[in-house]
Amino acid sequence: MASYPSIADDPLRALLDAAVDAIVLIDAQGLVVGFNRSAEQLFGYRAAEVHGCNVSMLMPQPYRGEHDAYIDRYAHTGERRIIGIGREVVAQRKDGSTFPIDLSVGEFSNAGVRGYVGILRDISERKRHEAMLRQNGEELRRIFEYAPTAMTTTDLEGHILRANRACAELLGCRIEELVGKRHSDLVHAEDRPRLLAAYAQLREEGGEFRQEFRYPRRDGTEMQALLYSAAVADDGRQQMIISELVDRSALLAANREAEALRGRLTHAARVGQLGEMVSGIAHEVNQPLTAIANYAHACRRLLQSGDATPADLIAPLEKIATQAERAGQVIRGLRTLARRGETPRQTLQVNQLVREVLPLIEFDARQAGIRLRMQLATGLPPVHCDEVQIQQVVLNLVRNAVEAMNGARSSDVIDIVTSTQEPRFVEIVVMDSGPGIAPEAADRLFEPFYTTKPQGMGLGLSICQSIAIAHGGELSYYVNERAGATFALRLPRLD
Amino acid sequence: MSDGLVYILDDEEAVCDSVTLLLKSVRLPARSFSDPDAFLADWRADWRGCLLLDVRMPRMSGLDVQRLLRERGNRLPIIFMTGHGDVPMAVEAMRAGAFDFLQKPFHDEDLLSRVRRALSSDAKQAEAGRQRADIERRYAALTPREREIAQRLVDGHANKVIAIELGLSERTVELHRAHIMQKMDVRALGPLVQMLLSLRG
Repeated sequence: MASYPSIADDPLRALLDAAVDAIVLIDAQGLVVGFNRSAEQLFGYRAAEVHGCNVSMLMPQPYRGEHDAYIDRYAHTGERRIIGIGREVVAQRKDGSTFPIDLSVGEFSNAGVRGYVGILRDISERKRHEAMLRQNGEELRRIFEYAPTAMTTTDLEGHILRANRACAELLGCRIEELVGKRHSDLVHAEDRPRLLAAYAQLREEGGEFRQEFRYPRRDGTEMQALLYSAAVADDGRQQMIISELVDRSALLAANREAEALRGRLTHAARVGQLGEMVSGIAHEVNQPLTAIANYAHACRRLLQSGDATPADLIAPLEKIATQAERAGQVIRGLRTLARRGETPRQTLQVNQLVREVLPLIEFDARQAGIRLRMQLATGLPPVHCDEVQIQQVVLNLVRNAVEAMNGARSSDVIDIVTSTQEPRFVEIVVMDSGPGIAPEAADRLFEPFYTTKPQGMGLGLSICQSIAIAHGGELSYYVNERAGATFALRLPRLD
Repeated sequence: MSDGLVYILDDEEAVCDSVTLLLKSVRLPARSFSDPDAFLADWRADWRGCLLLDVRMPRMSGLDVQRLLRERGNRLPIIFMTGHGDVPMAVEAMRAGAFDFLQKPFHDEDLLSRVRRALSSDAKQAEAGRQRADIERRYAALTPREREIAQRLVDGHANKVIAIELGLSERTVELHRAHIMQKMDVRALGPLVQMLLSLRG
């Protein structure tokens, strides 16, 4: 560093060179009289190169050309624009590149020599950081703005702070129309108290909620939407609420359509099933009818013969009633299953469902030499279900069991057991002692169009499973202790 | 009617019971089975009457029962009881020698008339059997020489021809012939020939 004996002695220079900040001293004319080591590193000049030069060489145009005027103005007006204030300015290195600095300027006067001291700190890093933050903020804003999901932010009172394009589009209005409104004013009047309550809870306790609300659109239609809101907390205090709005109308419509399709499919499967069973069912009705006709003819003849007492007729008449009841049961089961279209879900007892449907398969089972053994638990809780569909599943499972056991003479009983073995469910179990199911087939049991039967479509069990799932239940298979197959239909208990 | 019995085989207790009652109302004795195995175990060749047989039963069909009975030499006329869609089975049963069939549910007259016809057919058959047994018994009483001569009579040979063929005198043949007529309990040649022909058939 060059000498500037009038203002500096050795301890001062040592101090200047030790400073982390670049320090530049200039005289009253703006000529450099001091340039410390940090300044050398920052600008790429040696001290000797700048000493005695106008300090304006350290700044780019237009400041370079105007710097002398700055000094002049201060000398004449005493108006401080930078001295003692500091500001961000641009500096220029020896190689011509520029960089932002934080500049603070002080004035000094020592032994009649007046001058200025500039302390410079390179703020490129800070600037970059700031730019990045700005960019991130912009990016976030854009993400919010253009996100394909409808989003809003609201204050704790539920006033909308921001809403994005998807949100405006979903609600059929402009963003500006949304901002400032209360979110609760957007939903259907009947849903409003529920939303206000949900927001109040977020405000008090934080957390999040997920609820369905109806939103009237500008065009008069109504949208069914899932509102997902979460409180944004800072330092344990709720700051705002961020919400996402998902239009469920399309999904609900698709679900309804899928439901209708499944209804048609299950109905078709049911009708197909009944078709296959029709001769057995006809026989099952024909037997009691035959008995009834015989009893009735016998009663008439006994009466005509004149040697029958009224007491002789009581037994056959009672038998007629019994047989008629039996035929009626088959018809009842049949009528339920042949029903078309949607049947409302009802609160029902599974035992009743099982009792009603079994007569339909009774004949086929007997024909195969198989006994259907019911073990129905008493005091079962009711279930909420579509009786036709559940009977269809039971019938399907029992028929499968009969088919599996036909030919296998090992045992001749199929157990139909109801219980509450599983805590949340009422269970209907169909247990056969057939040959069981090969492991490779067991893996694909519920797959549509997978079948091991030559005439099968492979839809039976997959439909059964979809019915079980639609009821919030399940259908599962396992190998039982008789090495046969067990199928368990579980339906959620209502109590 | 004779001492024949109406046997009923149907896996359905109610059908057995109601048919039994119907037959009882016209004083026709019946015995019913609801299990083919039990029926086959009890069956005896000398059972008389008829069999009302259900065509569709678990494990063993009515047609199976019919076949097993035929193999054992059953002579009971069989009336099949068929369900609604069992016409092909009924046809097969008739081809295999069933006496008749009835479609369930049936009118009592249809059942009773068929049962009566079957019973009388069985009774006739039984009578014919008795007569044949009678002829066989009498024929068995003939000596070998008498049988030789009887067969030649059936073939229409005159006494003289028979005498020459067997190396006997005509007088001896005449004596044998008188014994034959006496033992077979006939007065003329015509009935004798008829009787002996029935044995050949």
